Amino acid sequence: MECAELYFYIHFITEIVCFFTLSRVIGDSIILWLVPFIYDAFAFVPQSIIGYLSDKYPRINFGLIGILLLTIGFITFSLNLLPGRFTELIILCLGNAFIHVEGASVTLRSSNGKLSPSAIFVSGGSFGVISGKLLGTSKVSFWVIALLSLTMLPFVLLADYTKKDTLKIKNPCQNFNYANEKINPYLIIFLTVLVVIVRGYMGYGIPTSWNKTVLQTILLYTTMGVGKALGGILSDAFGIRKIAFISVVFSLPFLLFGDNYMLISLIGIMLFSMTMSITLGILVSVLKNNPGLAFGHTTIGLFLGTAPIFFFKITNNVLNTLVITILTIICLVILLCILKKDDGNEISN
Amino acid sequence: MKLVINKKILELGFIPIILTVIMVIGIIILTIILVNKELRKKDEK
Repeated sequence: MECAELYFYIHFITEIVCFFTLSRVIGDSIILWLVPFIYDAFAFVPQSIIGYLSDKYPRINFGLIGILLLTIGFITFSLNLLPGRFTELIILCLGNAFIHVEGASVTLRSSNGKLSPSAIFVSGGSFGVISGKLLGTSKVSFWVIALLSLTMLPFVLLADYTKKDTLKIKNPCQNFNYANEKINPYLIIFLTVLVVIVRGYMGYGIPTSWNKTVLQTILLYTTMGVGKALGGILSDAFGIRKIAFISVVFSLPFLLFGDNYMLISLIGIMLFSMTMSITLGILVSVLKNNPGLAFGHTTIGLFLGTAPIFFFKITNNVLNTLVITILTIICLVILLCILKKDDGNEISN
Repeated sequence: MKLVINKKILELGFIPIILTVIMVIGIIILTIILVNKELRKKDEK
């Protein structure tokens, strides 16, 4: 089994544990607002620093540390064992961050410049988010989820065994060459993070009035997961620039006119989710020796994109449509500028 | 109203929010320093 499939499962279970916890949070409306905000901050933002440490010390199994932290955080949160309102939550978040970094680092290092392994790893999260939310609202005991969390151990050890092969290679991410070399690397990083911020913000701003039942919510998250995986797979097959152009341009009309039509909206969401692995590919192309640090940039961008949603939201549909259209055009222009031209022999690779 | 600001969260969750924001800003600054270090190292090579 490849690292991507192993980390698909690990990512899936990690999100189940986290979103089961978030769904079981009880308290007043302030707590219900604060917990997801603090969760996002502590799970997403530290990934850059953890990623840097993972790049410096690749032999350390950050996934194993992550699983232990995640399980301890989950059990103590469920039993309310530790002092302080957010202590257990922060341990859980750090566990999540460690697992994400190891997953990204391992899949990027073993992919030989391809995007599909990391895209498959990333896609597992969407399936885990919806499964965790559904389990959290059911009568399932938290002990079942704690046991589920421990099932990640053999998978992470197996992935570590596969990782050892990549440690023998001097520069395993050397084949990531998706960024336009004529542009300053600092500017590429800044613009790519900007695209991730926009994508994070748009993820919440997309009008989905059709989403009213549990089945429709499952379909929404499943489509997101499939889109994320397809972004990497299709980029490897047809070229990253072509897929970036198609996914961004065609997602806009489907997203805007799919507010009341599930199928149209889902096509838009799938296309829109495809940009995820593209931005990661660009960042790794600039930071070839630091895949963990590069991945951490995408998670910081996601946090910065979603953070405004906690404090304000646009309720006017016309204004929301205008904002989405302008942001999509900005993303398209940025991606076309910073992406290197496709070689034209992607399928043969 | 076009823009709805969640005032309640700002009033009651002030301290956790401020601490979280400080943590976020700190890590972002540290990340910029690390990226700068790595890119300079790459240039030297």
